[in-house]
Amino acid sequence: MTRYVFGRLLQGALVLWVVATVTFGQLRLLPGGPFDREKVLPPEILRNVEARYHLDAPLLEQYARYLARLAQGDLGPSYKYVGRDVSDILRDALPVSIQLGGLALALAIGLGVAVGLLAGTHRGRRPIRRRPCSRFSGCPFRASSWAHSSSWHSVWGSAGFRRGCGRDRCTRCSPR
Amino acid sequence: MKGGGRIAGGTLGVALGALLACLPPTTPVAGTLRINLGTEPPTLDWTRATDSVSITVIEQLMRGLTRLGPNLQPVPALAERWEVSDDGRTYTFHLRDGVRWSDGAPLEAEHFVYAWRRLLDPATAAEYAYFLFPVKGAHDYNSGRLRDPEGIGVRALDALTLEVELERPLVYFPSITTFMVTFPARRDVIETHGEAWTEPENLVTLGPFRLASWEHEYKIVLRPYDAYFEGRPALERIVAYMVNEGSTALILFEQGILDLVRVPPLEIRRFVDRPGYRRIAALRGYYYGFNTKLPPFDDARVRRAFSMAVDRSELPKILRGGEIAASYWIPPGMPHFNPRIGLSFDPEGARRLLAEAGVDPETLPPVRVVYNTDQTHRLVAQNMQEQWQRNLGVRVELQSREWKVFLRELATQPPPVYRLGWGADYPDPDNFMNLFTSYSANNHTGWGNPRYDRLVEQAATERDATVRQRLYDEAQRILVEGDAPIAPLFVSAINLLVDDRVRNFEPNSMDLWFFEGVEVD
Repeated sequence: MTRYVFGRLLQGALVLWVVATVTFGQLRLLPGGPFDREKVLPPEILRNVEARYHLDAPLLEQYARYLARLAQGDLGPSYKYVGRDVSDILRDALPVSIQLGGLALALAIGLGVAVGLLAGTHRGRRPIRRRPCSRFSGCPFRASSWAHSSSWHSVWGSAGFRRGCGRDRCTRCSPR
Repeated sequence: MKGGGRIAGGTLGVALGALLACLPPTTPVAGTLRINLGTEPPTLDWTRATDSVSITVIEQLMRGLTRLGPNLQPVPALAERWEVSDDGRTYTFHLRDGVRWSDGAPLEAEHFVYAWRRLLDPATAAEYAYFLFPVKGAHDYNSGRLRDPEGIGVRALDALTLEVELERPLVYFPSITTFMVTFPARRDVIETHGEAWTEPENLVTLGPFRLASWEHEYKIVLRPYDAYFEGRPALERIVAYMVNEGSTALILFEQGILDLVRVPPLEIRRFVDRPGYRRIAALRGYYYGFNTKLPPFDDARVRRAFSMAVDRSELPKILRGGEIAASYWIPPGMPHFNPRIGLSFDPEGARRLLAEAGVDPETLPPVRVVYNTDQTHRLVAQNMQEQWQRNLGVRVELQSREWKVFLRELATQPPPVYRLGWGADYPDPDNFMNLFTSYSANNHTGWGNPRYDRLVEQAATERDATVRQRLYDEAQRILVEGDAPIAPLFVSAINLLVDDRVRNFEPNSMDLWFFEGVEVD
């Protein structure tokens, strides 16, 4: 049993390492850097900025630094929000995302069960479409994109707005 | 069966109730202005900020030596007056007496010296450090060639006198000091709190408003600063939300939850007739650049032909965002704007030029036009394709790229034809014209003309407005009529919705929002 648990833990660590490495590699392979701007930075300023984030170091050193930080649970500095760490941003945003996701899930289950019950009690009579059910199932983003295309938009927009549905994450994920 | 219906109805009711409980209060409050920032400001550290969202908040919190007056001329702010030496190289700013920071400390010239050294310090890695490169020693210090910050040409002569020595005379220097990266800063505050110095509990400012709270990625609340040197603003509160969906913000405006929002381009036609709709030309130009190193665009006649073959008046009709068709480069609203400059639409002349250059449209391989993925840019590109095919008979191939890929391509291998825009950082033509000097990193055309470079350099130091006009006119003629490495297309507009309870709000063509005189009924 202990052996099994250890084995699984070791596998988990291995998977994490692979994911971290692939992420690191992908970021460097993709075209464009975090400081590419429409208004091009003069080369000496770009050098200063890259030095600040250690992006001027050899790739291997950057990789080692990245892994060492990750191992301590430090996700590194944000390139966009000056002076904030990725961990800070997650700490601020995660509770809101959980609240939003939870609310969407509660709504989905509430509406889904209600419509399901109606469909059940009206079996064999006037047909009730089940589509809203499947549209809501699981993913809050799907619910929000459905809301986008319907009159629910304003209500949904406001609900999200109250606790920051305007945030990047939400809209970036929503399939449009 | 009936029971099932009741349960279903009940569940539905609970679900709807939960939703309604989430609605924000919609009643507007007098004295409270509710605006949309769009996103979280990347930083409120004015020395390191670069983006328009941060500027919007910082402009409420801080002031600089000068500020932009009604027609975008620099007027006194923290400096009550200034003198320029005869050779135009030394500016002496006299600070207003009695200005106090929000913690009660008096403003001193030393706060500027510290802020400017911090901006230029390579370790700060401020992206906009180059705004102060005209200052003596600034460029050398920022690039590490000069180690001692004492060598930078900024000194506090006494508590209220700041002396700035420039590398070369620069007539628009007081326009640069309206920009946030030149604002004063407090060493004690920044050194005590480190990165957290911009949080509401630590931030010390001196502008019309102070930061009351900042809930990251949700909202910022500003309150008036009672001791503001130009008098306490009328507003009791500004609530700045961060709703990054333009269309959601519009709905919130319609519901009376927001008082001031930007209108996304494609929504404009829906709001044009509303009473709160405001439109103003922006200091933002949109152009197509040619890679002058690649045939056939290595021949100026071909570039001119392509520019002359475009009927620019078609673009505002397609985009419908209040754009102004433009064949000049210095936009209206900028000093030394001249509407008579530019190549006018002349398809016949264009075809003649093309023939003169020995280019046969029939045998010319398709011309590749590259733009970054976006609805507006696509509409423009399709129109250009259609016009060039119609008026020149050439074939045009459109390619869209993801933003970062596009930027990288511009930096490494500029395509034969590409789109780009430029928004003013400071309201002086130099900001638009030095873009296309042969040594500008933003000039992706591969074009350089020593005469143009000289004219732009000379105009930057020329104090006589008439002479300056002549210099810029000649430079513009080289840029958009003679050598034509770019074809300017239009000037963008700013489209806003302002609730009718909001009074005295004046949008400006720099798209900077000032709220100190604003009232909300």
